[in-house]
Amino acid sequence: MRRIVVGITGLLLIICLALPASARVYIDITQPFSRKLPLALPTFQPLPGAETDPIGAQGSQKLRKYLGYTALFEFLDPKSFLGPPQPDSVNYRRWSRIGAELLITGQYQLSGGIFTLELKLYDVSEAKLLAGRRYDGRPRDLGAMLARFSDEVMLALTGERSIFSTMIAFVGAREGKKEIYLTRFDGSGTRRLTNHQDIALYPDWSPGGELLTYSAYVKRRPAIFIHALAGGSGKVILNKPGVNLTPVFRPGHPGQLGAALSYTGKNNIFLVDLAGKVLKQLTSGWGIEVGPSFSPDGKKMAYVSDRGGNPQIYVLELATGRLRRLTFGHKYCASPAWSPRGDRIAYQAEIKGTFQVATIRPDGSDMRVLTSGWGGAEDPAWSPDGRLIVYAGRKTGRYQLYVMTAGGEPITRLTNLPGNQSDPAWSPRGIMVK
Amino acid sequence: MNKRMVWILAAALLVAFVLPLGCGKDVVPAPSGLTEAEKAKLAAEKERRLKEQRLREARLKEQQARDAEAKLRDIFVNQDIHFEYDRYDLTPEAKQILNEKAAYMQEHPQLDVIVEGHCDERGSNAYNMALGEKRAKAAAAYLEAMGIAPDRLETVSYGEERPLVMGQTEEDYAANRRAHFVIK
Repeated sequence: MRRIVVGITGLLLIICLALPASARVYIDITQPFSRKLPLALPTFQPLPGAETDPIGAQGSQKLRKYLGYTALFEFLDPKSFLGPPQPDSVNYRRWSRIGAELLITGQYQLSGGIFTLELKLYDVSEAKLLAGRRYDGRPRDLGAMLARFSDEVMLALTGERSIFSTMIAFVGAREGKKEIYLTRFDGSGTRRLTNHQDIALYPDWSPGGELLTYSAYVKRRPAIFIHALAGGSGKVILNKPGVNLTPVFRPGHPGQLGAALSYTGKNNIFLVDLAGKVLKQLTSGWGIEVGPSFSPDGKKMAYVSDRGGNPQIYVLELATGRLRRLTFGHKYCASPAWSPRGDRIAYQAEIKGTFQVATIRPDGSDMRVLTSGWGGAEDPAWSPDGRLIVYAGRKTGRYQLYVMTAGGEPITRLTNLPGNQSDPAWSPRGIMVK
Repeated sequence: MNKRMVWILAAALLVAFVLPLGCGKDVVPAPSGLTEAEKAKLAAEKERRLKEQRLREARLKEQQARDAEAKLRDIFVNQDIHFEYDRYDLTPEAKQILNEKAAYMQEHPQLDVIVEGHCDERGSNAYNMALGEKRAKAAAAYLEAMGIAPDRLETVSYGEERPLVMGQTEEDYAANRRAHFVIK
């Protein structure tokens, strides 16, 4: 892991110390169809006395790309701007006249290899500064500075940081082999994590983001691995006879994993510890029980079972053993992913012969199909703020990762690598690998 | 197979006994007045030819048996059983093939076998991994019911990870939904 972010010194600008973190909720992120905020984002200017450099234009473009990732903003056309931003004495009326409700200014200085970037977010209608940061680092730290500021913008507007310090783990398939890969939230900095030279599947992050668990073949059977991101390679923790599948960390219960095992002769979901010791058998089916996803408090578990005759999502209450079928109406539902907000469960449902991503409330109400069209969409996973969903889509004929909002608004294709990319898992916040 | 063996045996007998006798008639016109030494020499010559003949026949028979065996082994490792979409119960065709597999394994008690379960690419990857195991286990359970010792069978699932054919037609999918048999 690179220490790039640590290398940047970020200064909270004095002026915004007096501001409460979330004085007003600009965007209710629980409302997927909320109105977009008109934002003016002029090209970054040199700080007083500093020289103009292409990094300024680069920076504002990149910030626009990052913030575009949230699908919360309507970026106003720079051609409509009535003059330069003047960050120290903003003419709010000038910005409000072109319809801007928010303004972000950036000023930079590049001298002696030191790159300074000062970023400010203004509420135009209320005529006030909402957030300001000054970052010192090297020119190559630009992306990291903008990512940090993007989270500050989200914090100011929604009361919560977003995805700008996250990574996505996924399965990359090339030449008949599957390995676990990592990429940054914007699809940059992709690298291969595992080197099994075989088949590795189902990555999942620990709640703190320091560990990844996954399955990979060891002598003809999928075993469960734990990989510490601090370094080294994955270690086998579970390699019982049969299959050892779909390990997931149980939130709120450190050191516990849910996983589908078949060593008893039947295929069921078990609670195991990080040393691979079986703590408890959670399901008792006769057919297929696989793919657990825990509620954020770790008290409930959604999973796939074919006990009703075909694959459907079920919800198990761990303390009571109460089991309820969640999905109806589609003959094949799988890959449940419980939102980190707890309010919805995403999954894939077979619709007209193709799989699409849908979400549903944990009580089984309000089912919504979010994707459509040729190629389909599978393996949904939530961003840690619960605002976005990453999934494997096949529009181009091969599987690639796409990001959409929790409401189904498409945002971007995340990966464009050779081969297939599937089964994404979004990291918690606070992970930044270059 | 039995029929074939009978034919091979009959042909071998014909070659081993009838042909040499016929041949002997030409070679040995039984002229009178031969010395004992000459008679002995002739007899030895006859014996040598017969031996050679038998050796050739034995080799041919062995070769034919080897070919037949290789063909059977070929069928065993290349003939898969197939499944319906999202199913792991055995079709009548699958059972028929499994009967032959069981017979082969009974005739070759030294062989241990890996039963691989595979799926087509549709559906959840994780579910398919479990489904592949169910398919492998269904096939193995049938073989066990036919008298094959469980310790000669290992089940493995590759889910949708090792398709036999690429492509997304119904035929491709059907070919990929299979249990495959590998001799250890």
